[in-house]
Amino acid sequence: MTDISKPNAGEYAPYAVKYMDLLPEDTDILQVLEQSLQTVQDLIRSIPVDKLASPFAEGEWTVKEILSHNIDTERVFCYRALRFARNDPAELFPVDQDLYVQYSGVNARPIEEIMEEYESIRGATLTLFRSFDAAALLRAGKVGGNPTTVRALVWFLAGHERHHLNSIKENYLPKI
Amino acid sequence: MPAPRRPKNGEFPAYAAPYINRLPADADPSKILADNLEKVSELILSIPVEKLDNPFAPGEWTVKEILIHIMDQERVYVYRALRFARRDATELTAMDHEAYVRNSNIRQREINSILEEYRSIRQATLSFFRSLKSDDLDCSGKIGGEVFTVRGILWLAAAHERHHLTSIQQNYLDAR
Repeated sequence: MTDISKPNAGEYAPYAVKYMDLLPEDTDILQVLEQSLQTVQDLIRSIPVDKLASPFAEGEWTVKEILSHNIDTERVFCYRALRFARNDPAELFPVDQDLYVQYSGVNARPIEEIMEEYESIRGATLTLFRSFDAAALLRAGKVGGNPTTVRALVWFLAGHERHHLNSIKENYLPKI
Repeated sequence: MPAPRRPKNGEFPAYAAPYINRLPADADPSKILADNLEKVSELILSIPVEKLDNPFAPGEWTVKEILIHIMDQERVYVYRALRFARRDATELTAMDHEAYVRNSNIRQREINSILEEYRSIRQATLSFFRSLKSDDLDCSGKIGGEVFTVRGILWLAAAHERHHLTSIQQNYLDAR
């Protein structure tokens, strides 16, 4: 399988640097995504079910909303990666993440079903990035005006997920 | 998710009608997609491996190319349905499916890895459609200037796969 090395600055939007910074240079990025699934499951199991739909502070997302946000982000980033990897020249559009959470209805869904979806999308993410050869991983396109490579998208996903898991640990667990 | 009724005219463009009209009136597209998750491996593995890279007629796709086409379309369909279900008003761009097949490295891939990807995408598709609320199915948006509802996309996903699997059956198996 192709080695997916860390993207350089310029391969992702400037705001994404905070996610890239969470991952060391020599990270095996697909292994991180494979293993973090277990981390998410353990973390969620450590939180009482009745706390999963409460925000830790006024105006913040609930844990279920964070999960839905991660799921939607992963679907969107895989789509972008597919388009760029297939040399599709269309410029793609950013998403309004608050709108996505607002209409997800996720607080009313059972946590088991949400985690099943989380697991299923992770499976489809891993098969997508494993399917790319070295040339496809370096192909690029634009999202909301920012040049983005295929490999940067998978690094983003891993860093973005880690960021949200850290936030659950720091902001939600102390209040339980 | 409630059993979805058949989409009416106006929920999908004219080019999708020949696919959708071939599904029975009382079809359950989620069930068709779930059933084919089981059946597709059996169908494909019944074809001798050396035939998987041969088009059945000059200028036609090979079996592997048909499979990557179904997979790419399925990832794209679900992405579009997600955007519409989240009330995202962005008009989406069509894709050149011939270019996607050409720019995939599908000939170099082992059939088992292709089928593994196929199954992983299907799991992610089914978990997405299961997550929808009944009013999400009526949400609509535009793709390349043509209107689709989420319901129309779900039916097309099931009908499109059926069309191609039937063609594999007829051209590679029945014709032997």
